[in-house]
Amino acid sequence: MKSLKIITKDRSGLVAEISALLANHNINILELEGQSFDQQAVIELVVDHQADAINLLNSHGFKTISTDLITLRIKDQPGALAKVTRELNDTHISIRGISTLQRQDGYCFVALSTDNDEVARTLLQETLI
Amino acid sequence: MLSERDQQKLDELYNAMEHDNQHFLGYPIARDFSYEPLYRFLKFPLNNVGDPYQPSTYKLGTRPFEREVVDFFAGLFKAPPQQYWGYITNGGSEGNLYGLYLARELHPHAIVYFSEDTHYSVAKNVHFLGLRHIMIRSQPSGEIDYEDLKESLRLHRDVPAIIVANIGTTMKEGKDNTLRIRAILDELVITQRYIHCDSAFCGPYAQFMNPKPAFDFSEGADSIAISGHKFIGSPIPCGVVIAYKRNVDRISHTIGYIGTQDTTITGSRNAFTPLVLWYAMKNLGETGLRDSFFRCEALAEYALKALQAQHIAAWRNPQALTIVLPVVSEAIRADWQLATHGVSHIIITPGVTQQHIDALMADLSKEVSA
Repeated sequence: MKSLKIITKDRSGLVAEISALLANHNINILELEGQSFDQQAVIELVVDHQADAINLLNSHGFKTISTDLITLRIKDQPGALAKVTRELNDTHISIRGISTLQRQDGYCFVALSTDNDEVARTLLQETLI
Repeated sequence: MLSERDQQKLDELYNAMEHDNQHFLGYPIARDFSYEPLYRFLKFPLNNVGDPYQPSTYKLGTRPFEREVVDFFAGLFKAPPQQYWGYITNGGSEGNLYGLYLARELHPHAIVYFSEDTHYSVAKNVHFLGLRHIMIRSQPSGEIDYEDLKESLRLHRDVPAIIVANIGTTMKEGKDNTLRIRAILDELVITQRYIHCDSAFCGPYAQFMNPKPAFDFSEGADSIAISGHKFIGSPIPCGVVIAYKRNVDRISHTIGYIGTQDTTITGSRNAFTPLVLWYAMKNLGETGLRDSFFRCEALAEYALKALQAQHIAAWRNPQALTIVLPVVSEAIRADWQLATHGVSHIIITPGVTQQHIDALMADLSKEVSA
């Protein structure tokens, strides 16, 4: 079983909406955990068919990624993503890629992968979600 | 000999395609092409194996025609005579892969920069090639945010930079400006650099726009990829990639250890699509492409006005053939094959008629009044 993370605008009925969507496509939720950041919701799910769930949720407008990726919430300003990569480079952690997931209310949700995710997670603890 | 059931299955597929071909406004694909005179070549085992400029003992190919197509687009994109190289790809994504491959061979430790509105295949290609990337903000128009790009480059100015510029983003047809990108690289004194232009849809007509987007070889591009099946039209996906010969020569020497100078991605290569593009170019030429663009642009304006008349908050970039509108219902999306990603869009390509637009408007109007 693998988990996935959904980053979307927070609203009432969100969990019910996601649950119904997955249930209608015979995908079972095994665990569910949610966090709220101002207007944004981050929902972590463990499902029985991760790839199908990611495809389905993305096709319905939910930004969905595997939790294998590191996800951060940082201030949305020029060079914001590059600052993260610089910090990691300076500690000899090599970044494979860094991409924006969502921008909202002056913040940016970001996914990245590195050659040493464990150390990267420790370094970026303050912005980790 | 097919069984009756299998024949029926084929007929059903054909009929479904006939219908869907008339309800097709969400993808940048021309449908008014006709290549019947070329069908006779389909009885041959065609293959343009290897480099289009190297001799081959495999004779059932179309390399001279392929080179003519490359010459046509090299001219259109102002590549310096005798200094370019190119080939017919299986589509824009392969052209982007080739451009990035060249860039990586020239700058193995580079970071790739591209905007949020970039086609997903670029991120996939970057992953294939094991390159690092930083995604850059986009402006609401879909064009790259130069301030974010500059700041990101500044923080990594000690690292070679590969920039993928979009000459027509997938959803909004936003166009990045290679002159502005080049100016930023100059200002930061980043000399190890490479600019690849993804001009999949707009490449064949962008030079006829006024003002013309900056993206050709005289404006900073190191390689340009276009699709052949999008604005030009082809029954089989295809494209063209063009790069500086000096860069291709450098990598063909470095891969000499594998016993070939062939730098193309696939080896065995489609030899029918070069004929398709050659035929289209001979029939259209620059004048035909220009006229085709002007017809589409006029229809895009018609469609935009029709949408706005229905109080739909539609818009388009200057002279774009892509009209952006708020997300439409699932029924309209499915019926008209409208790609939707945060916004919906319709794209006016050769083959789209006023009747198609009017039919879509009628469907939208029915929904509003229901």
